[in-house]
Amino acid sequence: MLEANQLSKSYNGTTALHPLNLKVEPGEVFCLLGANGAGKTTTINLFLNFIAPSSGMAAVGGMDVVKHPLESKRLLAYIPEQVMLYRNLTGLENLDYFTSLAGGKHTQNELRGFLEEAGLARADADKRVGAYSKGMRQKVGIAIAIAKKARALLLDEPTSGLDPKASNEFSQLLKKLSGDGAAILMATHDLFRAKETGSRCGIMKHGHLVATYATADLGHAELERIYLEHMHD
Amino acid sequence: MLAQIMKYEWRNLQADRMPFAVAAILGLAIAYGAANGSNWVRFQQSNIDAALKEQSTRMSSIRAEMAKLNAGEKKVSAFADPRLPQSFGRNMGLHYVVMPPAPLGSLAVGQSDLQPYYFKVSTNSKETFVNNDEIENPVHLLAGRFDLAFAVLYLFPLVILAFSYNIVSAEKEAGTLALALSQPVGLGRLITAKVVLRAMFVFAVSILISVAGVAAGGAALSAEGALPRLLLWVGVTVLYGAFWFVLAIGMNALGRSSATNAMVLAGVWLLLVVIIPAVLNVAVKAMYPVPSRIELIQAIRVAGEESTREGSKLLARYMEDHPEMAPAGSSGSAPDFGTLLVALNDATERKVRPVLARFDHQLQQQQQFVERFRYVSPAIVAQSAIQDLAGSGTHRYQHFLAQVDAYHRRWRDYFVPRILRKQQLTGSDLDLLPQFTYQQEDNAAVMWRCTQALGSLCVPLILLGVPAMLALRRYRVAG
Amino acid sequence: MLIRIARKEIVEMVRDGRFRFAGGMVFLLLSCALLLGWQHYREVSAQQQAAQLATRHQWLNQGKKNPHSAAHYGIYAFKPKIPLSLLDRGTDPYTGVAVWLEAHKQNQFQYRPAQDATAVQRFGELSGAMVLQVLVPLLIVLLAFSSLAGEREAGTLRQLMSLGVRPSVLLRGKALGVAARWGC
Repeated sequence: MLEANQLSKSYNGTTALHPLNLKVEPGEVFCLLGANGAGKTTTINLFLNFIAPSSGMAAVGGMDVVKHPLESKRLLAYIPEQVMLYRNLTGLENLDYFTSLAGGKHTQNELRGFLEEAGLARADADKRVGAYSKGMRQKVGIAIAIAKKARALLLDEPTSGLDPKASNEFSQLLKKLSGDGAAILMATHDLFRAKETGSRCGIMKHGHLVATYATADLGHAELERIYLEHMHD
Repeated sequence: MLAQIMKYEWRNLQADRMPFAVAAILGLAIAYGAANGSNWVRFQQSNIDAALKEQSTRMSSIRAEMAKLNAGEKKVSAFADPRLPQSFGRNMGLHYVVMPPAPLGSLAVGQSDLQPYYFKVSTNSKETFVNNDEIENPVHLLAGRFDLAFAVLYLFPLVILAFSYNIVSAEKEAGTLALALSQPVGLGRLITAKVVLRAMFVFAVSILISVAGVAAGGAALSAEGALPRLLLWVGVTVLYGAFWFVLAIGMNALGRSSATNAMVLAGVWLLLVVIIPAVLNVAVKAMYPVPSRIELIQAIRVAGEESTREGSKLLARYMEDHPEMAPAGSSGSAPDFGTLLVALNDATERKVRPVLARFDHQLQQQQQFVERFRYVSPAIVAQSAIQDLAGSGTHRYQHFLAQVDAYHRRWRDYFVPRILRKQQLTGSDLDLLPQFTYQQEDNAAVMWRCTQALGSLCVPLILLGVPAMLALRRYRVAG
Repeated sequence: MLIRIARKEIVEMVRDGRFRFAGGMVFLLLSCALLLGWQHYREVSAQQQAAQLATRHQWLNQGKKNPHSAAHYGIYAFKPKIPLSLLDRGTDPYTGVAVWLEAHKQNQFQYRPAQDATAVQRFGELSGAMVLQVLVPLLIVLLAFSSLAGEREAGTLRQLMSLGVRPSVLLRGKALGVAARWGC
């Protein structure tokens, strides 16, 4: 579903991402681990076509995102570290707006259902987003993904700054979405979450994807050890 | 989808309240401007009515005076005798020529507070009656009037910029742009929806209030050509506004912060609306300086002196030039005061004519220069088009002055032969006096000029719009 | 401390090419405006003085006349220019340049220079005063608008505050920096 083929990006001579080959199949959760500036966010921005690749190709559902910027986004959902919403609109209105951008037509009840599915309390749907906590905004982000029936999710450190309970709820939602057949690419610093929710994880360093592991084969302690080993120069 | 984006954009604007405060200020400014313009038109009209009324009472008292003098009930000096053509045509029986305000005069005061719109034509040279300035506080003239044109040219762009300076940058700064663009929607479409909504709102406020204000102020919308002119005015306003919207989009496409956008756009506003016109004004005066009026006054005086010294020689020369005017069987008798004055004026005018022609020539050159270079700022294009449509600009005034010249000739042609023939006026002569009626400007010509202005307002729109679109295509939400 | 803050502001401004450009533009416009203003002043006052002498000469040499016609012959008064008008022409374009003084008739001032100009005149005139009154304030705002907000957004304000700089000193230092930049 998500595929990077010799995908690279450089800015004025400095290479942010060395040619990257990556495939995330439906139902899979791929966690990108690595220090700040390792190229995780660059990878996600390339999939979103927010930045243009220097070479290679990023494809969503078999479509090159540069050639099919809009079609590829029909399949995508994006949840950044901070899901920024229009603070003067309610959660429900934000959801309605973003799903309508995606071309969806939903009744108010369906929309409320999506928010509930994403774990937002019923009463909160009609509150203005300005009063939302980070976790609640994250849930609206998930609801957008649910509403547009995203086949691929791009998550950029979605759980950093969430309290453990909210973080746990978030992981449950991801599991549910991947269980429904979504391909998920998540950049994260949270080794624990990576092990819990991920089916595979890749370690990035200086723009290289240096190793990938199936998380089922590793224990928590082992994952941390491997990660730290890679971080040593 | 556009409608959906606009719906939520509207809700966002509503929650913000600021845009409505700004729009309310614009609305008030426009209403005030329209009221001011309408008052000015009424003031002009009342002056004209007063002048014409004064003329008709004066004429009836002259008729009464003539009857008394003819009946021998009264005796007056030659200077106060209305039966003498030189007294009547030079002094007592003067007729007004007036340029009534155009049907849409309340759209712009324009040059009409500076250029006199009525004159009292006499047999003397034109220079003696064209300086009929209205007494006016020069500070008001300097500051200009707070009319509809001021609101449209100066305030309207500021409101548009306030609405759109952060149209993309604010969403980028708030982070909502990334989420919106992770949906299958192009930035172009997003901006289109946002701009169209704002434009509809700002244009609706300004145009509805303007038209309502102008109509309520008593503009003659049913007059010939008034409605098409009003439509053209709407077109000029919309295109002028569109220019500022496109400018804001272009600035946003560069991807700078909202604060930088605001500063740069304020600077561009100042540049296009204040600095460039001021520089053009200085440039045109430096390129085609008008001769000094102080020197003109001296030239006229010197010419008058010379002519007086030449005295009776002048009369002889005048009669050689105009044999048809020579009164029959009058050779030998001493010329009277009226006859001498005719010859004197003629000689003086002949001497001053080249100086005056130089004024006209330089002003014409200035006008041409401005018309050629008005494209440096859409504000200048819009100003001249709006004044043209309101009938308070240069073109209509020149048209009026040409009619004044023609009437002045007719007035002289009527009186000069009578002065030379020493023919007294009778009551029935008064009925045959040349009458002035203002001939409306050719409507098609105005429309054509303003359509050209519309076209030339499109040029900067395209010159800015195309690069803005290209820059938007390269716009990066991240990295 | 105040001086140090001001000096840092100046260094930052001097290194920013945009401000150099904007400052250069203002300087250029100001020089042009003053030059044109001076030229205009010189020309008009020379004309005015010459005309005033000439009208006096005409008055004295009008020959023998009866007092009534002499009083009607009258004399012209031309509006003098004062030297500071090279900086700002004020209402001069909208007041007449001359008035004819004659017996028992009050004439109006004649010939407003703005009548001998195009409609562009009504946008205003480029003068030294205009540059100083309109452009310079804009540039000051441009220089100073982000002096605190910008530091806050960049995060450097937190650091400054954590060092124990008093906010009022910081503000005064920044103002001094902008003022000093304009001084030179």
